[in-house]
Amino acid sequence: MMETHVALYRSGAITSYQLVVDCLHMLDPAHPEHVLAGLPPEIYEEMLDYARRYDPTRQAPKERLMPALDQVHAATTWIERQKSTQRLEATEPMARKSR
Amino acid sequence: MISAGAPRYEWKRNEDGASRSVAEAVQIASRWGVEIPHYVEFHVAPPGFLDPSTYARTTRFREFDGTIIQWEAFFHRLTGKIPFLVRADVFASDEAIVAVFGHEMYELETLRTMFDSNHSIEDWEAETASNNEGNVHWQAWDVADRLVEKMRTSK
Repeated sequence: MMETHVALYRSGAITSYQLVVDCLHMLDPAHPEHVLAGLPPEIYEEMLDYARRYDPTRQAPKERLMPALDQVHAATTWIERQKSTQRLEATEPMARKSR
Repeated sequence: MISAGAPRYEWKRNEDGASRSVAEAVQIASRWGVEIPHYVEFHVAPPGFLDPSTYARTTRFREFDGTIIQWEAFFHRLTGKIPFLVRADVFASDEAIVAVFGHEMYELETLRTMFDSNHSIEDWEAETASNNEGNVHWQAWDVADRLVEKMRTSK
């Protein structure tokens, strides 16, 4: 299913915003990697932007199905963890060199 | 004409059974008077991607009440176009093509003025909901019905 969404995004058939929201809706908070691992890198930043706007204290609208808080939270945590892991991997050889 | 929240006509399938490509569909719609802006792009929706009552749609926003929807948000960051997904069976009927493309373009162009003046997501939804009599969505089906009438009377 995610492959279809990503293909639609890459072909210009759905916007990055639509991909972000659809992914969040499909995301299993216990296994966010199933949905998030295959996304184009630029989608992660847009997803974090969405999460920053997402205010759990506001009442969810009746006629508009929003992603759930645990889905948004799981996505944020997973992306931030990936980013920090990549940063560590990127800086490690430099750190070794300087020793 | 009586306004409606859905098309009044049952669209005829093409007699030769032909299903049009997106490029052919754009030509057919344009020939019957649908103005398709250069910044709009149509795509065939994969099976099951759109719900059965939806013929076509662009981006669907999921924000809390009060959020301002910016016109720029409709554009695809890679293509610079506003994408519309269209149900595959629409392409098997020239009447459906003209009606659906006509409906969507009327809605988009009418609502564009709203986005220019910073309206909220609730305002936008009120105009695109199928159960809100007389809104832009209803008017857009009137436009679509008139296009189909024109096709039938000119034969």
